[in-house]
Amino acid sequence: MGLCQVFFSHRKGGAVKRTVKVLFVLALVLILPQIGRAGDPQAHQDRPIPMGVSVSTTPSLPFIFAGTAGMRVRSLFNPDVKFILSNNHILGAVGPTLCPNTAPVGTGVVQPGTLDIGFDPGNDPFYLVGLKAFHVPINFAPGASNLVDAAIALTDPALADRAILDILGPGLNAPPTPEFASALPGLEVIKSGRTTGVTTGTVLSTNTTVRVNYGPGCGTARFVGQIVVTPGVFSAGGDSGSAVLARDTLRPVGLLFAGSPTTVLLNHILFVYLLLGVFVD
Amino acid sequence: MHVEGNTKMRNGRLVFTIVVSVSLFVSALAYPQQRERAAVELQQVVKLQEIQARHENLVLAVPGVVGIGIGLTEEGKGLAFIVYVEKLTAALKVQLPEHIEGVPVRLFESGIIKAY
Repeated sequence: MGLCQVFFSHRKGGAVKRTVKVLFVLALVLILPQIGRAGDPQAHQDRPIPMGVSVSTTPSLPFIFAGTAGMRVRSLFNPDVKFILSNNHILGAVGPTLCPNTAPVGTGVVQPGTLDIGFDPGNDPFYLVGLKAFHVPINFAPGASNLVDAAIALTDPALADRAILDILGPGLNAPPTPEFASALPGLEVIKSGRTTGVTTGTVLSTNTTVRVNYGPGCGTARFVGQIVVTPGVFSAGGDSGSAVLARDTLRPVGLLFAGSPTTVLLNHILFVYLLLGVFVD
Repeated sequence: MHVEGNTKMRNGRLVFTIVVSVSLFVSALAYPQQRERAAVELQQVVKLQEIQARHENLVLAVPGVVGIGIGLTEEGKGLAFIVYVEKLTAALKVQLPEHIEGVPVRLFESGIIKAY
């Protein structure tokens, strides 16, 4: 009996140890290759998709285009209702003009964008991640004071995740911190976008009044209360809709929507929240 | 031997306590100053917003000007109005003021700003 017990307990302990060892090795094998391997924001992502990746509306024909899914947000009135936050000129734009304010409610949102798919798939469930719900209209009248270029698409936690692609380093996705950061000049910021990936920059000015060109077919709109970030390489076309966060706290600062060779423009995240009736999820 | 060891340990503990209390004291001194400095800056930004509202239409009416906002001076000390221009030309430098109500004006060549 005694010997048996010793024998069995010894066996048992060995088995537990061995299981732990096997699990540990398995975890290493599964996790290690992920760390250090940057995600591709232009590729088709497994569902739920991370934020910071390519999206567009459909139909976009005769063009194909792409912007960035910035953040997952929730309704202020019903926290169970989730949206993908991006720009009006991405989620609020459809063919044939691709101008902001043109997409009707229920327009399909695909990941990746039609530019990165190479064609317009229509409402194919393989690509569909949301349905355009609401945009803040952009007023193109000469003296108008626009605050945001923002729109939201209804989504589901099974289709879109809170985490932002590679924001903590290659292979390390993380959600933003709920509190917002006040964008004072000199603040260091970070974003993850479809074209330039994860980049950092510095706030150059706040309360900026500026004219933004939406292309020959759409016009020029005047924006007030904007944040300007440098350097220009912080972002490029296709990064539109990226959530820009404070670098050390990952608190949302703004919604990227425009830029020039030396500057990048953000809407103040508070205006975005208030005008859309949402909050970071 | 034992006595020596004890005094060494006691000294070590004393040094440790002094280091911790001094660093706590210093950080306690620095903390309110940091907070105050940030608050003053925010107040200044609000003050500059009012000045900007009074003058921004005049500045934006100058051909070649793209935008105006509140940022830091080139040296990074104190606040300034940053005027964004399509191309930084000598003619524009003459046309735009160096100060607005005593606040320095910094010109920044942005080019045309397009929706991304």
